[in-house]
Amino acid sequence: MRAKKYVAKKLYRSVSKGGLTFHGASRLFRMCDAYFSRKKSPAARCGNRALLKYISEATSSEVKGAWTSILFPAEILHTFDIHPITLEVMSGMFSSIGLSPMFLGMAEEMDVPPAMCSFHRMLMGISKSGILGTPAVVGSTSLLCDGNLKTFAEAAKEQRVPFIFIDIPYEESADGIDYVKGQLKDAMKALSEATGVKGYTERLRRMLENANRAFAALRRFYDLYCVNRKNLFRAHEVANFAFPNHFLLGRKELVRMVERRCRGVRSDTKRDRFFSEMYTGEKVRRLMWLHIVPQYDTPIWKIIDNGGTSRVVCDEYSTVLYDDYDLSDPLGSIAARLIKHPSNGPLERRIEHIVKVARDFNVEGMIHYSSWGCHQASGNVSILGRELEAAGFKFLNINGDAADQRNSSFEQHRTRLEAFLESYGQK
Amino acid sequence: MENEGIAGIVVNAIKFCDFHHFDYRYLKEHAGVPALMIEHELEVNSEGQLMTRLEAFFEGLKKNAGIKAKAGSGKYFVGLDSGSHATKLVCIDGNKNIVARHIVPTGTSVKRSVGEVLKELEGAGIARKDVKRIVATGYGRNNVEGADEIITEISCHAAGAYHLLGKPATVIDIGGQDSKAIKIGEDGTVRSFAMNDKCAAGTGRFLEVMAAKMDVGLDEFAKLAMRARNTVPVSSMCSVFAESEVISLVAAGASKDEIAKGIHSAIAERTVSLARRINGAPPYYMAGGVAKNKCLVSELKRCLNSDIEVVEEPQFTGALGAALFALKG
Ligand code: SF4
Repeated sequence: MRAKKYVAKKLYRSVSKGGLTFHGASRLFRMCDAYFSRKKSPAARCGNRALLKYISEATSSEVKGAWTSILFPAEILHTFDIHPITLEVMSGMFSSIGLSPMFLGMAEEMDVPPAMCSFHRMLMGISKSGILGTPAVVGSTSLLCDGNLKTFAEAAKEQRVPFIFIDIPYEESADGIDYVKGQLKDAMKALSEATGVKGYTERLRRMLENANRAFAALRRFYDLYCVNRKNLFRAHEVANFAFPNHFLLGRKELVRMVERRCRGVRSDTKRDRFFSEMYTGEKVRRLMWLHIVPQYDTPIWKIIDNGGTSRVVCDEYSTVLYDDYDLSDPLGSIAARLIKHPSNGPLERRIEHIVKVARDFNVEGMIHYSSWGCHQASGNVSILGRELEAAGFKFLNINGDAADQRNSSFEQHRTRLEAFLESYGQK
Repeated sequence: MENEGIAGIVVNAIKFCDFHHFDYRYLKEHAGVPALMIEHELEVNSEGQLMTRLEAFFEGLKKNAGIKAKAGSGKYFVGLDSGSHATKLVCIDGNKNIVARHIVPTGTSVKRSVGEVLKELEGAGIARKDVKRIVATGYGRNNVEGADEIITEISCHAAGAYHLLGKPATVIDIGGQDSKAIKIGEDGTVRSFAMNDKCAAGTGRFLEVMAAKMDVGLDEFAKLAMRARNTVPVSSMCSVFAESEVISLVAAGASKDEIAKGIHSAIAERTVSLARRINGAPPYYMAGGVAKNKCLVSELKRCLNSDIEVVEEPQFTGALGAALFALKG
C-alpha cells in the first residue's frame, strides 16, 4: 500500500506540474499495478486491469470524455463514442491511493461546503485541478444522491461545457416513462450536436444489445455468487463492481469483465492472498454491506471480512439486476430501468431489494455505512434499521467518511463492529 | 442591493444544507460587495466564534468600528488581548513605542486575569489614570471591564502584524480555540480572513490534547517532534478520533517523536488550508504563542513552500494591534 501511494503521489505531482498527462500517468500506474495487485486473485486482477485500461483510454486527448454521476445512463454516451468518466469513481480512486487530502483542500479553497459529502467535495477539487482535462459534456441524474445537481452543474459551469441533467420521477407510470424519455431524447440531440454524429439509431441499438448481454452476465454472476465460498474478491471490491456495471454499460468490455468474474467463481483455483484459505468457512457470520464502502484501505475488513470468522458476502448496489431492454423502444426501456432503480422511489423499494438479496445470500446481519455529509444515508438509516430488524436481520450503522480517512475513526468502528459480532452469540 | 445601499452580504446557512453554500460562492464573486458565510444548526452553540466572525466582518465594512466609551486623559494606550490561555497586555505611548508588555494565564476568569495584568502594568509604574484608552480583543474581549472599545482579534492581529512588518502580509494565528488566516491589504486593513470550523481540529487545543495524551508538556512535545527523523502520519482531523489513533499508534510501537511530528504536520496542513481559502500569499507572518513552536513553524513552511516571519514575542501581536487601535481612537 505504501509503494502504491508513493508512486501515486509522484505521478500526481508530475501531472500537476505538467510533466505528464493524466492519460500518461494512468498508463504508468497501470504498469505498476501488476505489482500492487499481486496478492489479488487472477479474476480480480483481470478486472482491475480492464478498469485501469478504460480509465486511461477515457482520459486520452484523442477521445471525447463526459463527466458523469454514477447512475447516468452510459449507453447513450457510448452510442456517440463518448467515454463517461464517473467523477464519484474518480474520487474513490484518488482516495484509495491517498490523494483525497489534495482534492479536498482544493475544494475548501473554492468554498465548497465542508459539511458536504467528501465524494462531491473531491469531485469539485478534481474539476478545479484540471487533472482530467476538459470533458465534452457533464451529465448527471437525480438518482441516488441529492448532491448531483449542485456539484455537477458547478463542474459544467467551471469547464464551460453543456450540462445534461436527467430528472427521474419516483413512480414507474406511463407518464413518468414519457417524461424521462423526453429528457433522454433531448440529451441524444445535444450529444449528436456536440459530436457531429448523425443517424445514431443503429448505434444505440447495438449498445442496448451489449447492455442486454451484460445484464444476462450480471444475473449469472449473481446466481453463482449467492452460493460461492471461494475467496476470490474482497467485499469492498465486489461492492465497487457497481461502478463499472454502470459506466461501461453498452460496451463489450463490461460483458467480458462480468464473464471473467463468473469464470473465476466457476473454475479459478487461486484465492486473494488477503484470506488465509481458499474457501470461506461454512460457519462464518454472513454479513451484507449497505450503502457505500470506504474507498481507502482500512483495517475494518480484517474484523468483518476475513473469511475465517465473518465475511461480507454481498452488498446493496452491486447486486442490482435489470430486465432486458426492449430493443423496439430503446429510450423507453432506458427510462424504465432508471426509474426502477431500487434507490429511487419510496424507501420500501430499497428495503425490498435489500431483503431479497440478503435472503438469496443467506445473510444474518447487515452493516450500513453512513458517510460524512450523505443525506441519503443519515436520512434513511433509522427507518432502514427498524424495518430490516423487523424483517429478522441484525443491523448496525457506522458513521464514517468513505472518501476521507482523516474524518473516520477506526478505533470507534472497531468497537462497534466487534460488539456487533459478539452480539451474534447472544440471541 | 444598489437601491438599498447594501455594504455587505451575510449568508446564513444551516449546516448540511449545502445549496446555500453554493449561493455564497456565487455572491462572493458577483455581488460586488464583501460577503461572509456563517453556519448554524438551528441553535447557536458556538456563539463566541460566530460573534468573532460577524464582528470582524463588520469591522471590515466600517473602519473605526467597535463600541466606544468615554476615554481617559492619560498619555498611554493599552491593548488587552484576553485569549483562552493567556491574557496579554501591550502599552504604547503616543509615538507607537511599546512601553510595557505583560502576560498572565487567563485561567477560569477573564475578569481576574485582566485585573492581574493591569496590576502588573501598575507595578511597572503606569496607573489607570495614565492610560488614555483601552481596547480589548481576544476570545474574552466582551467581558473585559473598563475597555473603551472592543475589536476582534482578526483586526487586531492584522494591525499588529502590519505595524511590525510595515507591509501587507498573510497572517497565520493558531489560537487556543480558533485558528485563523488573515490577509492584510496595502493599507494595513483586513482584506479577507478564514477561521477554522467549530471543532478543535487544527487549533492549539488539538496540540494540547495530543501532548497530554502522550504525557508530555507542550514544550517537550515540540522538542520531541523536532527530534524526529521520520513522520508517522496522523490522519484524523478530529481531536477525539486523533486521540484514539495516537493510542493505537503507540500500541503498535511507533516512536513518540515520530507521532509528535505527525501531529504537528497534521495541524500545519489544516492551517495551510485556511490560508489557501483566502488566497494567501507571501510574506507570511505567524502571530500568537504557538509561533514559538519551531516544529510547527517549520511544518508550516514546508506546507506553504514559503518562509514565515516570526517576531520575537509573537504572542503580543494581537494586544499590540489593540493598543494601536486605542491610539487611533
Ligand atoms: S455517499 Fe451519499 S452524498 Fe456521497 S455521493 Fe454517495 S449517495 Fe451521494
